[in-house]
Amino acid sequence: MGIVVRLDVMLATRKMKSKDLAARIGISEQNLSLLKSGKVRGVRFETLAAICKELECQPGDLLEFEDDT
Amino acid sequence: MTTATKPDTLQNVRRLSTVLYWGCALAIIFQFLVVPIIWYVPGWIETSSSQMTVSIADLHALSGWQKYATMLVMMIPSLIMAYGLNHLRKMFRAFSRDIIFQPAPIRHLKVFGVALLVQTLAKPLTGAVTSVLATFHRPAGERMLSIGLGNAEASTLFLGALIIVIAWVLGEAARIDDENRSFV
Repeated sequence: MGIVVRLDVMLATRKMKSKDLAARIGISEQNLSLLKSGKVRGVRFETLAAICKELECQPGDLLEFEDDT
Repeated sequence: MTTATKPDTLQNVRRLSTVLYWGCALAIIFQFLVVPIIWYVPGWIETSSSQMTVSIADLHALSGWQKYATMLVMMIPSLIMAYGLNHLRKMFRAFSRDIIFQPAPIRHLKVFGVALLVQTLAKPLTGAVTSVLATFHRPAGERMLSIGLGNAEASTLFLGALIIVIAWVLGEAARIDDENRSFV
């Protein structure tokens, strides 16, 4: 898939741990880890909005399209 | 299990499934015993089976290979139903363990539906074979080929088809549940 998740970059920029973000947005660390590694089929708008709110960023800062071809 | 499902509903599903699991186990035992009971318990036949294509007197007159062959043929629908009920039992066991929207219990339900259809279709055939075997010892002209078909068969066929369709729908529900789980 061509969508790359840049959550790890945003977490590093904001100096926030995955564990803390997971607790703040109310999802499990395991699910956040899956999201960070891009091993999910999709992200709910609700989750995306919560992450954007906590990291004070836009969805475009977290997701990027890369053409595989 | 989805987060949208009420905990009370799931508890009811677990509780009722446990009861039905044991109900299926008893029904399986009954399926194995029904033909011997018809054969050896006088008077039970009139109330238990309107599907009989031969009289109980004809059955009791049988001996040797004919007796055992007839008994075996009569047992075929019961054995098919026992097979289906065993899958239904496995489905209820899965439900009682909170394994609901998963492929395995849905497959068990589908197998039960197919078994119900096959059993209903096999009944008239085994009935016909039973009538031939039971009257085989009679002189020529008195032998009989009897086929019994009734409204009950049509209803059971409808029920079997209904169960298969429900199993397909549940399969779709399981697929959607799996998709939902892969979203964060």
